[in-house]
Amino acid sequence: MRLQRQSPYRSFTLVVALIVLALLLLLLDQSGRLGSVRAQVESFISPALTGLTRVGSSVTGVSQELSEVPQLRAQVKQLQDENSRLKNDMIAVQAVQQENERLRTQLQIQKEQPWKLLGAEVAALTPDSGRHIVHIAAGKQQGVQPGMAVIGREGSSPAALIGVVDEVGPHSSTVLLITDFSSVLSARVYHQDQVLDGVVQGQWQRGSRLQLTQVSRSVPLAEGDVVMTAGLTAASGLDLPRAAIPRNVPIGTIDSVSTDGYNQSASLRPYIDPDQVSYAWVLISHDE
Amino acid sequence: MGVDKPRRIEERFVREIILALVLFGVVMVQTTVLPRPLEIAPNILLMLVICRALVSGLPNAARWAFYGGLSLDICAGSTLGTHALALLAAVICAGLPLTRLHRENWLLPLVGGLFGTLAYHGVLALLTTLLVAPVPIETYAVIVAVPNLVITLIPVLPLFLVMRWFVSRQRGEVPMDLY
Repeated sequence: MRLQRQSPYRSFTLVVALIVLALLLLLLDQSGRLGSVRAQVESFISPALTGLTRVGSSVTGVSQELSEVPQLRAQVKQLQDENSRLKNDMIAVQAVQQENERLRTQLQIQKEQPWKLLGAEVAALTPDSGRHIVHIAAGKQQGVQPGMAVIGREGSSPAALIGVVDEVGPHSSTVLLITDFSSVLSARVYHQDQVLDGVVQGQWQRGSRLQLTQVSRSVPLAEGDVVMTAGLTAASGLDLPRAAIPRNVPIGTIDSVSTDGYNQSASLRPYIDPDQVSYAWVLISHDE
Repeated sequence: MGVDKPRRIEERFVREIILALVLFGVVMVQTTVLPRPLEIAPNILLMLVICRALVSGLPNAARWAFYGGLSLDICAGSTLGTHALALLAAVICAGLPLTRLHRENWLLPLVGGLFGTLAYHGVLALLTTLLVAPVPIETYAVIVAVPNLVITLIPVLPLFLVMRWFVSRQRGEVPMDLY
């Protein structure tokens, strides 16, 4: 079958007539003679066109949103990565701030005291209640040796003794806390303008913290008297581990006093609770 | 007899009005609702008149082109007759050169679509140059004509097949494809 049953030229009259009519309308509209009619028609269909255009916009919007899904997914992934990176940066910044704070504290201690310090994180607490020790993240490689004093500082307390290095590994050390039963240190009590010697022993396993014993009764102790290390081993020049502990490292204050024969003893309140310390300094050397 | 003739004229008149309204509806949808991927709107009316010219012949397609073109001019705000002339040109260029081809030939809509779209945009560019402002031909071809040609040629084949099936059914024919 052919496209048309009759000759196209026979029916071409209608086409020509329509072209002429279209041209006529074109000329009339161009000359402005159809202006009023056209304006009325346009005002009539305008509301419908507006409504349909809104529908069209929403349809286009939906199709555009659908086409943007892969792009949005990639953007979300990028933002998630950036968020993760920023969180890591924030953690790093916090760590740097903390380290900065600790270094400031160390600097302040070193300014107040003639000590050379090495800062170390408290890596682990003793896993059982039999001993009162902690592990710090500094060892032989960092210059830590057995017998060195370990100090801490919390809040407004002075830098005070929390323990003594017991065992040393390449990169970590075990610190025997002063509250442990086996910790015994020579100590000095400052009572007004007088100084008394004694021994400080840990009492944790006995239900207390520190006990000051073997103090002469010549001068009565009082609550609030300051107790510091005596550094007797260092002063006597003996080559013993405890020789690394200098004198006048604060330990605590007297809480209560009791007499025992020719001596008097006292319960001590340490400046620092060794259990609460998360960062400590090893006293590497001193200028005394 | 004297009663029948005016009645036929009335019927034809009503038919023409209905056709014009339907085409006006198509144009409204085309100019408002239809999504525009990459800012190119598929010209439904152009496809319809080209397929109509290929399936039913020039006179029928010319009526569609005239009504639809005027509707486009009203909805688009262009000078009345501009789109009508462009669509009439598309109908002539798509229908006349392919008169001797079989309607069952699948190449018909593609070649017709090509000729029709080029004629449509050619006349539109010419009228715009004459009535509004000179149109740079190369730019117009690259930005408007070619993308519209592509977007017209894609659906013109299925549309042609549907229209051919519909017309064949009306005439009681059995369509047969030629390759």
